[in-house]
Amino acid sequence: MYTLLWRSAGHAQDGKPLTIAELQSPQANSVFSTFQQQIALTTPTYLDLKQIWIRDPQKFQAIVMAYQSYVTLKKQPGFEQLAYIPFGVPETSPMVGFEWNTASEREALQKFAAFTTSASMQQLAKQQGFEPTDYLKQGRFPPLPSGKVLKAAQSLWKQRKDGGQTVYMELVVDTSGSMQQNNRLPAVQAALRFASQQINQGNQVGLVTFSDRPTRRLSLAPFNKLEQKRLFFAIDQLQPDGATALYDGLAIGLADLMEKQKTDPKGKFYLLLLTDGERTDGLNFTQIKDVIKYSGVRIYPIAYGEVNQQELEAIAAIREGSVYEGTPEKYKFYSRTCSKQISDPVSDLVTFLIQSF
Amino acid sequence: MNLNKRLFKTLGLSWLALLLAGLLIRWLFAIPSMTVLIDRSYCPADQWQQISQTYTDLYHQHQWRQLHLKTVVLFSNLGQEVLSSPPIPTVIQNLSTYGQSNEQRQAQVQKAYPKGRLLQCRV
Repeated sequence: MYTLLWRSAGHAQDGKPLTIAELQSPQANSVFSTFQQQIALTTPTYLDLKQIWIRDPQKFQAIVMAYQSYVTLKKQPGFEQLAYIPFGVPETSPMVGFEWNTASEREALQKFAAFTTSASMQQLAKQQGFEPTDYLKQGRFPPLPSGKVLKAAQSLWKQRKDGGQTVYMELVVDTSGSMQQNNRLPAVQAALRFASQQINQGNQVGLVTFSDRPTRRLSLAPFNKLEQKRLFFAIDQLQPDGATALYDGLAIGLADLMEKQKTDPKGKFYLLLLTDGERTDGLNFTQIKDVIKYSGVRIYPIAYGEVNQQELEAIAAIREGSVYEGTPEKYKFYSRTCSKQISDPVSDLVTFLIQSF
Repeated sequence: MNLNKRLFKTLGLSWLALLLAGLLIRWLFAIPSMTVLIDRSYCPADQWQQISQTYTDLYHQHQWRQLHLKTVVLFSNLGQEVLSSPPIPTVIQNLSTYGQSNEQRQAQVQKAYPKGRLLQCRV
């Protein structure tokens, strides 16, 4: 996005960096709005887009991805003709040490640096697409923006990312007895509290919980300070207890979103399903499968603990969603984009996803 | 036989004369051909309205065969698009405009289409 704004400000000719004043100009804003209108689908990460594209190669004309991803994707059947159009600033991932690193940490960093720069690893990296492309060699990319400009660009994105469409998000949270383990529910509560601060005014958020039966805690309504207080209150009331009527909760969430579709067919509809276990009560997957399929709602299950992974993946795949695993190994990627105020896998994931939509 | 020969000769000459007359009329009353260059860099709605109105007028002349719109070129500082057949006026009217105008790009486009009619607004 930075490159697009930089080019739109006419700096491809003069090579100068983008300024905050230019970001606020109607010229830059108009580029962003036009760009948003061309987007077929948004997902929290480009990896999700890539998975959707692999499932259906006709789905997109183009997606944004790193060169390394392009190298592997081109090997997939149906992607032989894939072309790479380089743009943007180089996405280098430098290894950084800090002055507060301990001696053993410094030693580990040095050993890791020696390992990654060894001939065999360099060779392997090249095979995986980590190579200096012509675009990088020529160095004709935009100058690195200052932190202030990047922050301003992020704010612009945040304010205008919905492209005039209302985002409707139903949070469907498992409050069965197992959520008591490992402080799962308090972590989710903390994440919801934090993430709710990132929701744009006017978008609609609802909260449904399920254990033995589903409960509508907060109906979908335009988000504002009052709604935020209501959400906080509803979050604070959550108590883990009972069985897992997962699909009953899902059905209530879908029903509320589908009701909203009648009045706003152009809205964006998402459902975040957070569960730590298998369905043990109520409706089953077969009974609700077709409802999900024709709902027009994109479902993002967040798996936390001993879930039926296959079934969650099937739910996500029906409407081009993805399953997010709240395991410590998997969450590191998402946590980089989240606040450091919370550091639990699932809470970081919830925050990450809410910020993304 | 002789009569037939004369008849064919007269007929051939008549057709030739008709063809020449047709070509002469076409040359004398030729419909002017035009390429329209539209700068779609950011333009406020009221000014864009004026541009789309100018295009609408040209398009109507094209429909009434007073003018032949050969090509329509849309350009901005992010790229250019050459439309081989003129789009209907509502397409231009609903076109999104974006980005800074780029004089270098404009000069390139005008060089490629020296007789093109430029439609643009200056913000």
